[in-house]
Amino acid sequence: MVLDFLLPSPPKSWSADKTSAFHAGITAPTKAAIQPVGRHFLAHARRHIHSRTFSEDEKHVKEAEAAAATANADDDAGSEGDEPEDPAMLKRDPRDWKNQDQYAVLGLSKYRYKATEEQIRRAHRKKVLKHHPDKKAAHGGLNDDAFFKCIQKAFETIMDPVKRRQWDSVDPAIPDDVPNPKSKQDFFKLYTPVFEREARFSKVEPVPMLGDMTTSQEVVESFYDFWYKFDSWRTFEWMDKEDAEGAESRDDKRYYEKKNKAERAKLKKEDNARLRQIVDQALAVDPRIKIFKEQAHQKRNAKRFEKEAAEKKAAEEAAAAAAAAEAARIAAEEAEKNAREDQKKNKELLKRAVRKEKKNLKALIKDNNYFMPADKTPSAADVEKQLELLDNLLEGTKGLDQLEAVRKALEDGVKNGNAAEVFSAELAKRS
Amino acid sequence: MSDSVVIGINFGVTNSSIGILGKNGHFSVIANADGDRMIPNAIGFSDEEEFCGSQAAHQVVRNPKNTLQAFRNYLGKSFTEISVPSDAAHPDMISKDGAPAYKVEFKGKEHIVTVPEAASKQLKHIHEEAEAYLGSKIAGAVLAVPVYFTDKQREELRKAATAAGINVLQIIQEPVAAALAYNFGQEVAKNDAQDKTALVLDMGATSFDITILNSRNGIYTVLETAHDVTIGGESFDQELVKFVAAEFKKKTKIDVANNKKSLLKIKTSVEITKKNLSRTPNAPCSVESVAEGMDYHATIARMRMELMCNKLYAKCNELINHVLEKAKITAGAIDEILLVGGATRMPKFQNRLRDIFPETLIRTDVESDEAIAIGCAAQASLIAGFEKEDIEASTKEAVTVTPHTVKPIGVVGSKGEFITIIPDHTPLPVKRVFEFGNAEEGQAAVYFALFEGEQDPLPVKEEKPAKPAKENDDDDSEEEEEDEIVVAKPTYHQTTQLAEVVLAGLPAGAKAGSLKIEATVQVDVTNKVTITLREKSSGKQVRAQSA
Ligand SMILES: Nc1ncnc2c1ncn2[C@@H]1O[C@H](COP(=O)(O)OP(=O)(O)O)[C@@H](O)[C@H]1O
Ligand SMILES: [Mg+2]
Repeated sequence: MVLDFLLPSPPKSWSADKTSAFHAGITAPTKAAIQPVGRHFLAHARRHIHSRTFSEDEKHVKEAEAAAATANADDDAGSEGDEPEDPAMLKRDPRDWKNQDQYAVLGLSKYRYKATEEQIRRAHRKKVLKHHPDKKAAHGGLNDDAFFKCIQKAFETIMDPVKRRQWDSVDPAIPDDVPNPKSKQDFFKLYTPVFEREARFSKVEPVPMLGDMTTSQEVVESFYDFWYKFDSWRTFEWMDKEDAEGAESRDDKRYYEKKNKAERAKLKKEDNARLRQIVDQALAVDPRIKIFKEQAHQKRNAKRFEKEAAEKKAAEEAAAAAAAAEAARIAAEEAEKNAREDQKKNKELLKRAVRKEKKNLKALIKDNNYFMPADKTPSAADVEKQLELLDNLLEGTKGLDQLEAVRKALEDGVKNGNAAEVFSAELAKRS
Repeated sequence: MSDSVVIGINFGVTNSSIGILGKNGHFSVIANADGDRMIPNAIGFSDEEEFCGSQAAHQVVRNPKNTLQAFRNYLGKSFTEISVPSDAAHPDMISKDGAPAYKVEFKGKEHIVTVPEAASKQLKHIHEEAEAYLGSKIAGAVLAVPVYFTDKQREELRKAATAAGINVLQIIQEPVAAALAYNFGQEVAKNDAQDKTALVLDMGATSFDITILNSRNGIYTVLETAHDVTIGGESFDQELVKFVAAEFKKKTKIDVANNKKSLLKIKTSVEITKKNLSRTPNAPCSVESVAEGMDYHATIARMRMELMCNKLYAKCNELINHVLEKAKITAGAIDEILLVGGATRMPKFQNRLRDIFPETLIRTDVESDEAIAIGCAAQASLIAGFEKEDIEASTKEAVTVTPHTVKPIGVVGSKGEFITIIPDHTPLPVKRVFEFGNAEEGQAAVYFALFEGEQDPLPVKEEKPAKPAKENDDDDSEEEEEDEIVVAKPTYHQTTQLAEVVLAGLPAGAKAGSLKIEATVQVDVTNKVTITLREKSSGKQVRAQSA
């Protein structure tokens, strides 16, 4: 907070030798509850519990912060070996040096397989200075060189490239678990650190890393390719159960060596399977692979779609043609039907006209004395006979035209008075 | 995994949720095996088995008599204290040694489950879901309870959780957990007095909880709180149920008003409709075989729902106003509104807040129903490495009930105005560092006087206050206030002079602007005041302490 006004000079009455004057205490505080959550509360609690003043606490916090910063700063030169020492570690039995955390003993927990030779030397020097038995004794401590021995063992191990690899292979502080396949975590967040840590075992360098969503298909594929062919230097000598060196006889030694070798081979095989499983799992859930597959699928399908479209078009056209043919067929049928109906109608008309003509003729004969001579009144038998004759005539007359002709002739006959003759003539002509 | 994994658990009335610290450094709520982030608090018993969570919630319509829900409401209460609906849609409850217990049928036999047992089963289920998700053992968890939980209720929850195999690191208060999730008032500039006030609105299924929370330099104090169990997500469901039942009757002439099973069916469906209506203006509502084999299918408009729930929304605002009044705080004094609980997602609820708070920032950047779990997870990760005794020591009354200043402490500015340096109601110990503008040219000594102040009477409500002559503690945000809404931040005047200090012997012949005086004021738990004045360029300083 900056207050933008000037502090005045002391008032005239202020005596020169005085630096301060307290006039009153603050109003007696009340008690009230605060919520015990959050980092600010924790700071408060710290001050309260350790009854530290603010400046004391600040000092503490600064120290703690500095320690934390050191712990965080991976490449902060000169900080190796400074990490806090676990009291349990300081009490370790040096004879059990194989099971100690070689890096923690040297104060290199943060660096592990990444620690450079330079860093290891520096850390070692610091540790030696701190834990040298002479020095401890000088400070009134017990002449206890146990941890010093641990330090020396760790230093030996880590400085020997072969032994270091053996240790790094089984460093328990670095997880070698296979991620939970059901994990719902973001793929990259989950697998990037896994591949980063596994990469340290590669004989081949550089080791390709997982990348991200923008990594190209080619690179992603070569990544998996690399990891499926991963050539690992990880070894399991450190896990040897039998101490072949310490064996009594040569036979025993050979026997133990064999046993160890078999065990190592087994572990190696398991480890390869483990890595393979990681890669399998990653491949199975890699969202990029899904996308690539989808894209390939679409590409493959593009041709099929084209073909299908052509087929569909042909089918549509065929269907259209069929429909047209059907329509034509229906039209033709219709026409034929109409024609048939017309014909039927015409026939009907013709029949009707014929019937009419025949009726006309029958009427004509009736009206004209049955075509008998005018002076003769036809008897019933005559009528019968004449009508029979007419029937014969009609029988013999085919078609409307002829009927018309007969009627015309008979009508003319009626007009001319010779109907009887015409009748006989026609009869003769047609029956 | 060498790191100890800790989680936050929101064990609500209706739902539980699990907060974790992800590998990416962000806190998030995880889903259970059924893909639900809100895991229903339900335990189901059938002829064959007993199941918890999502699966149990699915059988409630089919088998309501043997499905336990909302048991948190009964936690730490005696049988006589609770009212149990005894009908076809609720399991039977009996008194077991005075405490409420469920009587269900399990594998064809009568089976008694006490409320703590039910809570424990559900907590165990949640814990297992979390371990399955994380693929590792969980070292501990922080849980949250409502502000109004009694010590007995807290204790019973702790026992239930412990019985479930959970290592309870701490039980904190729900609105406080939510505030942590929203990171409310946690970004604090060092040595600067910073006050912020939040209104935490938490509407779950069966309760509307309101808390006014103050953050002073990142330390939270609950200023006021109230809750109403007659408002909650379920009251909105009930309005919709009434509506659907009426519509159903109109269509089918079947009256289901007294058919508890039908009503339960409708409730289950309308709740989904209601949630959808928070996102879309229209949502389908389908209830299969409501009664007599008849279905109900319709689309309900949000507007329709808002109309029928109008009274409820109004009631929410009434309660908020009530709490503000009780706390003697104006709406303008609220800096942020933090939304918590599933039901605060309703758009109308949020819109209606504007009736009271036209300008206030309404925080929705954390999923409202995830806030508590996330806050718990944040607190858990903060204390993850601590020894049990340390956590206990830090939550003891001696620490959490601390002396607070009664009156503000400050200095008097060039225009005679009181400038607060340590506000009233600040937990002790406290320390403030601040700097003064340049000393005058040739000034050989500076004079510093410390005062206690007193609040001016608040301006009468309706009237515009006289020109705010004196500022409160933060000096930049104040000026830009709109005239329209009166933000009545209290002002102060000095009363008692506490101390005077002089820093003499400043570098001679210093030019104007080259001297910078830094003042530090500290008050410790025994009320002792320490003042330090330091000239920054020369390091010349004077330190004075009260007797
Ligand atoms: N999107 C939403 N819109 C409206 N209400 C919702 C929404 N999501 C959840 N709810 C309601 O919120 C309530 C549950 O909120 P929650 O905070 O989980 O409850 P509790 O604290 O009781 O466990 C239920 O009544 C539910 O219907
Ligand atoms: Mg809740």
